[in-house]
Amino acid sequence: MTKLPIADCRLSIDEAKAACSAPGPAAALAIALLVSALLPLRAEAQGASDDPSVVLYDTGMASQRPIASQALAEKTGWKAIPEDKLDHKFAGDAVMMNDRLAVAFCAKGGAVNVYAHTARGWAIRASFASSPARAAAQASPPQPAPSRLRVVENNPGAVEVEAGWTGRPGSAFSRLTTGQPYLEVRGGKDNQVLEIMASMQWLVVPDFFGDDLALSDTDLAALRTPVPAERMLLLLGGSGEVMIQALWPSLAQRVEPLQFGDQPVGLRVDCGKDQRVYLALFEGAGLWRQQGAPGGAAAGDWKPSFPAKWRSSIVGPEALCESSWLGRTPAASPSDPRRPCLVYPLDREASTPLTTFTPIDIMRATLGFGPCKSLLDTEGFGSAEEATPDQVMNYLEAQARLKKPNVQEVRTRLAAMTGQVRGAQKRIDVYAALAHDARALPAGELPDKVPPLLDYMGRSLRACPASLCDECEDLARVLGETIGSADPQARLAEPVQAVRRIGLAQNRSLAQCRMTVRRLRLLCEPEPGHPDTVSKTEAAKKLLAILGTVQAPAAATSQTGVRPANE
Amino acid sequence: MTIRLICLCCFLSTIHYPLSTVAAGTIVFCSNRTGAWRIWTAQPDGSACRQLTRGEGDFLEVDPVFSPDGKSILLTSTRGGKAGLWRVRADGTGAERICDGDQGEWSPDGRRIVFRRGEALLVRDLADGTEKRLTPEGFAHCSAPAWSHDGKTIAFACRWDAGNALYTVPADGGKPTKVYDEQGACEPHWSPDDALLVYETEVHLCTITPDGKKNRLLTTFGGVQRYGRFSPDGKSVIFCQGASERGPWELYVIPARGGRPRRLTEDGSDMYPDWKP
Repeated sequence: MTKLPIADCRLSIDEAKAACSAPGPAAALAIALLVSALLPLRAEAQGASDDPSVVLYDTGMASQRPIASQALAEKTGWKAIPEDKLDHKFAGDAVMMNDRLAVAFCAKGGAVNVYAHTARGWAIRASFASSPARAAAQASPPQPAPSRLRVVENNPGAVEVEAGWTGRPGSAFSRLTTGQPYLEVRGGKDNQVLEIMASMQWLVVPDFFGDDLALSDTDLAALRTPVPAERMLLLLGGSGEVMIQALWPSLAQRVEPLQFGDQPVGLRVDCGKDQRVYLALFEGAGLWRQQGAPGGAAAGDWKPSFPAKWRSSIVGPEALCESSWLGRTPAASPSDPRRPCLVYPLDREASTPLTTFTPIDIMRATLGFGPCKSLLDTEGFGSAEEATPDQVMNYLEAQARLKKPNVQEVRTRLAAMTGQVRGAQKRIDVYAALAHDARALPAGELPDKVPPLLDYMGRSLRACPASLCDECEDLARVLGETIGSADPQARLAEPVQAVRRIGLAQNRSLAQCRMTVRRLRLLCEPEPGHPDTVSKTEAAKKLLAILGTVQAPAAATSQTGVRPANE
Repeated sequence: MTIRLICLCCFLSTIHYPLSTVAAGTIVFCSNRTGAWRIWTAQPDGSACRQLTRGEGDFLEVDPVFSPDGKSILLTSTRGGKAGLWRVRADGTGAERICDGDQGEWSPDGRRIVFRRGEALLVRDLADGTEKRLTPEGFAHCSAPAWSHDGKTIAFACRWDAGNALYTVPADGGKPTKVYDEQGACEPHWSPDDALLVYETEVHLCTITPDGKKNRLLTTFGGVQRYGRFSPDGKSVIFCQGASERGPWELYVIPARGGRPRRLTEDGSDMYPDWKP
């Protein structure tokens, strides 16, 4: 292939705890919610500083309660720890702060609180603690206080602090980088799980190509399995101005709802030694929106608050959504208009301001790859990225604008693309065989939630018949002939669109099937601490065996950056 | 279309970027705004966009670098079918093929170039055409050479199974010294005083001292930032910004200590900037 002869130097390629004298998590959350509600709706914290930096402070005096917004702004009596001084002994609380986030380790205030910078000052959005135990999804009041603080890194580029928690073995390393809206937490010795407390109305598992999964707080309270999320999820809270993103690099890391009594109060994410969890905070009026359902807003003339790729997900049974891109793909028509529709920004577009972040930006910055690479790697097509229908059609369209297009190269890429489409179809066939075998099992002996999921998978597979491969091959032949003819542009539009539709259909089907298999596996796998998930029947055990036949190929790693290619 | 773009650039410059606030000099870059990748120049405020190299056909022209005296531009072109290093006058005329290879950079005295051929780095004397391999045999996937301004050292990137790494090597050859090997680091470029290297990670630009210390995030924006280069006075860094790793790319300038970005170009895709005094 003729490629842009650019540097080929890359591998081929994310006030909860409150008050006075340590009340329980529920009370802490109530206070956090109250504080949030008192904040102005207009909060545009996503700006750039003229002099970005990250600073580690010693407050001089340990606070008995979460540090107030005003104290964070004024820093009266606080002392900035000099660059590269790592042996500092804290007289008060440790606070690391950049222009977007602040993390306060309040030993006497009983928590590590994460603040977001809003237009009206700092606001607590989450708190976290490490846990040595993987089981026990119930929060245990009071939340443990941070202790044993150690400065690991302290310079204008990044600050890292290791903290233990009173009464618990293990520790975690928290790292904040200049100008970034996310915190990196790395498990230390003896750590197993990171407990993240945050108020939320919805937990969304975005699927860039398929359909989102959206769990309300009620769904979460009833959830008896881990959350079927791969590498990231979103928590939507406040009055539409708060969005929290959690990310983790490994598919093996599990995420569970953290409960207090019957209430979901956050998440538990696997975070063993050297495992990482990222926590990103997004702020701004109209950042997300619920419409359509009772209590939700009407669609009306609502417009997104900033240019980006906004996701629109109509929530259906079993938390499965009908997802579309706002203003880009035809919106799904809800069969029941009372079904809630969640609208939120997922990815950026060319006109998105540089200083505005989206969840996919954070994914790229933390995990090192975007959703396309993630899907292709997970499904075993990592090396074929440049032969995807979309990529090849981009190239073809660019060539068609030239007076002398490189016909041979276009045809070579079209051939590679048809091979890619056949490969994807083989993977879809594997899912089809699984669905067929699963259907043969006695439905009455399977967990109740299995049949609806198999129905969903069936619909997804029917949208992607094997004939798509032949259709793609025919279209490639037409395109290859047309590019060599005079003035090809006008005649390319229709077949190019048809090829793109095939690529999208395959991506969607693969994404939907993968999510379904993940949910089925969680339903059938014996899970410590989750007796409801133990597969007690022979049918469930057989289903688990069948699910094993589609074990995803090697997972993507963080070293998968892709060099800019031809456009 | 071109006229429209020029007008747009001029309009934007007058609205957002008063001339008195931007550094002096000329920016050279490659762009596909007219279809094929060609070399363009602009003022550091984004005004006066001008196409420098022309020619019909599917060949590509990228990686432009001003000679130290500013009179020539070294670039990579696929004219004739094979990627090679070419030299053109600063006005775009007098194209002359030098040799096979790509990613060329000038020595500070302008007498030699360092470039990539077959994923090895070589130094070529422009007067007599002699070439010397710079990178050791064991360094199989080298790229992005950058000559220090004191002429003594060349920084480059090397790809290994474990990921990318930045190295420095004496300009006369010798054992490379590792600078940094995380986050997919590549594309190093020297500050005018040789005290810093600006380089790119998977999504951001960072600076680092040549001894591998004082590693700092320079760009803190959404999307992807690539290919940073210091301004001649060392006070700014020009770079490419894309919505994703696939572009499209536009040029921006940021203070060398970090801060607010200033957009220079619109439309098409603009990449690989270089900045002469």
